[in-house]
Amino acid sequence: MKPHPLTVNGRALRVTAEADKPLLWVLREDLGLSGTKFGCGLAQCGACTVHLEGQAMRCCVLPLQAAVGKRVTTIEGLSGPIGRALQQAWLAHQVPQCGYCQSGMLMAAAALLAAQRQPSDAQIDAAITNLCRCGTYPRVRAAIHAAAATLAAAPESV
Amino acid sequence: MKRAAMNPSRREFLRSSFAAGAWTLSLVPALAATPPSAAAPTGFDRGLRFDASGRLTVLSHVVEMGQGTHTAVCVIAAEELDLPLDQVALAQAPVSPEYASPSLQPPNYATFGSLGLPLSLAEVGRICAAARSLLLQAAALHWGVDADACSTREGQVWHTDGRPPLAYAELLERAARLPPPAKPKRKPRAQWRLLGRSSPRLDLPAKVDGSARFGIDARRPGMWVATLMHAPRFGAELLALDERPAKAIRGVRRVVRLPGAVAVVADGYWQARQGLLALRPQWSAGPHADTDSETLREQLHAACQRGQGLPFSKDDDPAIDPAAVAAELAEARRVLDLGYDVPYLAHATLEPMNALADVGPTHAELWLSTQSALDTQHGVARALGLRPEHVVVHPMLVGGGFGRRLEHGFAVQAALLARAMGRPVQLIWSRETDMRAGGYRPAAAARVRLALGDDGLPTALRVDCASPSPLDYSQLSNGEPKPALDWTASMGWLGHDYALGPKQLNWTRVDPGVPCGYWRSVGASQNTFFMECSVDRAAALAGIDPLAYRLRLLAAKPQTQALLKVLAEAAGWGQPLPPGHFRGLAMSAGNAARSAHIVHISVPAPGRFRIESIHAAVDAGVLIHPDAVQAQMMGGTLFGLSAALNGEITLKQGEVQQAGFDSYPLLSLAQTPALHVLALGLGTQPWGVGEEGPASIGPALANALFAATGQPIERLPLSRAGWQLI
Repeated sequence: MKPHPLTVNGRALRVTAEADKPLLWVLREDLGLSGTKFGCGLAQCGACTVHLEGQAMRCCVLPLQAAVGKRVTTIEGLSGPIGRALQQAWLAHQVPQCGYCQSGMLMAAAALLAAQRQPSDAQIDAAITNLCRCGTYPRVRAAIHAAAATLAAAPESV
Repeated sequence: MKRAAMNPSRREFLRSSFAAGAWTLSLVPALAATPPSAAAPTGFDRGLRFDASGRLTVLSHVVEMGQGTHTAVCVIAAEELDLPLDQVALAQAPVSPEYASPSLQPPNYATFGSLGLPLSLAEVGRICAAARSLLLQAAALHWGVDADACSTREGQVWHTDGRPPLAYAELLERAARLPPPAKPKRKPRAQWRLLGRSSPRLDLPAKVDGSARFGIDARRPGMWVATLMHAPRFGAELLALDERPAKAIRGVRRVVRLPGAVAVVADGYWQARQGLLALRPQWSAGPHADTDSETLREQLHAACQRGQGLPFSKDDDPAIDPAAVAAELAEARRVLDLGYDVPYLAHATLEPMNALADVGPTHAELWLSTQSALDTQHGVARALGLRPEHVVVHPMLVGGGFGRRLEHGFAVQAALLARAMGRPVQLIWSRETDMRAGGYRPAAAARVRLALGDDGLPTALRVDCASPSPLDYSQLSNGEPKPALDWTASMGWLGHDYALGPKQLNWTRVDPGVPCGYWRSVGASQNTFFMECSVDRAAALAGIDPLAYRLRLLAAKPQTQALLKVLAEAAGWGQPLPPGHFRGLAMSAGNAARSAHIVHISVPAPGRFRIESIHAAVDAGVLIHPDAVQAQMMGGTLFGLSAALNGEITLKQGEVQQAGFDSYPLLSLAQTPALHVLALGLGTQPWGVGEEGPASIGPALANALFAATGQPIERLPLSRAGWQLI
């Protein structure tokens, strides 16, 4: 096994692991970043959603080699105006219940807001395909709209 | 759920001790009338711990799985003790009988049955009230004044004369020397300042930045990771296994045979998974090789038709009177004779079952998300031949429980793997292993007969139902083990608010050998569907509006009537609808709380419907935390909607047909309709609401479809009844 260079949450790293090991397990086992969750291993549930070069990506099926040389952002690295607006809205709307899917939800929502500052309900429907078994969806939707409103009102001050 | 009923008659004593600047207070169960000093176990149970600065830690046997009870426990303590909320923290109590809730039968350290809140109110509230009384007395003694002239506020004791207050921290040692009151006075509801308000959930900041630690996030130095496959048919055994393909994979440490399963242990999950996928084990056919869902469905209905099940008695519901039912059915002007069935359902928690175990020759330690830590401790001890007190269990945050984590088979597997490997092993089930492992809500059928009087109202109810029994399989200690008559089969039938005349309820055990268990709302999840669809049939036959019909059945239950009226008002029941739009109503009386749904649908094409909106209402009796009640009803509604639309675990030739979220689809955000939740407190006593929602949403939707077409829905999921959500 050879070391693979990648950038995680702004830090340049070299990870020695199998090239085809999914990024999810590299993050959780090799890098100790346990905020990204294992839900299905089949890219069906979205609990493992991270950003790869700013795009939402289900990393339970993403081989490490596909992330080599790229910027990976996990929930632990969620920051900036969009990240903060979302986290604040998530708390204001008391979104999480068990919380297991929420890292992935937030990462999917952050990627959506980066691409679409004022998403419509239809755009939220299309972008947030993460599964939540506790049924927090109505609050997820409300919190995304609230974060978007915050960003629109004061884009830099969040 | 029933049988976990709280037992208020049990006598307890308060015990108090002071050491190293900290004051601890505990409720000690009184054993066989022996004095507390003789009966008291070492340590303190359900205890409070004040540190020298006056900060309070509450030790709780309730686990946090998203229901918000950890926050509620802190609020209860802050309220009863007049402490600022930020001076109160919760610690998961050590897992041992001393910390079990004595209100459960048998006493247990388990989170289920919508009981976390009422138990905490009774237990934590009582001990905090005692602590407050002792602090008041300590201040009064110090000042040489009457305690009645003193009051508590913001962690201090105040006197009416305006002298400077005494902080609790200054009073701890003195308070600890006083005898605890036998019957501490609780703070009256009129004086609540925190209870009844929606304090922010204390567990949420860690759930938005990735720092929350669930069972699957536990780590131990040098640990390996395992995953496993069970025999493809329940009860089958391993015949032959070539381990070499797994061992050829880098990182695989060993292939381990467990009862009914093959596990691969490796450096990490992915290597273990690769190893497992490389194996081609041969299994025996096993005792259930012919199990087939369609056959089971026929067997369930046949048992209902035979009508010779075990009868529930007057002890279960005073309205039980088979002779009177027989007479009414024979003489009634009209008798509705209906048949229903529902399939097995998986919990599908998003965090798959997992446990980390570290096992030595005489001791074991486990980290896991569990709803039943004490049963886990005992189950692992039995499997390892250890004493329970030598098995330390660390309950972690739970990534979805819904009843599935009342079982602990996966924890036993992890412990066996750790012992086999001689180092810590974390077992993580794959999604398909989780989906196929059983523990399901039982498949069930019912034959419902309603005798109807001249006014169209019921004069008698006879129900013959059939299902496997979750109590035959569940590892949760809850009431009598494996009773002949499964009380969960009566949930939502007996003790209901509807006046239906005399009742008869018979249950037949039909068991194809598929392990089943407790599923959020338990028996009410199917019985509410059977009951509420039957009521709509009766209302239609009588030509009476479904709401008006129910209000007549509830004439003697004004609180439940009020719930339906408030809901109907909010949902605009009775208001005109555009062509092609319809409403359906259903209520649930499966637990202590009451809840109901009104669903508004449109039907643009045969077999296809849209949900325009859902109105949900829950009566928690007294609202302790309105936002948590809202959230539970919202989540419970969507949990039940998911099941009603598509949920089914089916078997063919003994094998479960579902594996992932493609074959067991969960409701998505895009499918989630506008949902309006009314959190109500219409009574005098607070009840848990964690199981409200799943039961009545399915029949409300079915009744809307019945209203739309006149064709009754007699089975779930709706996809099987020919209906698809668009």
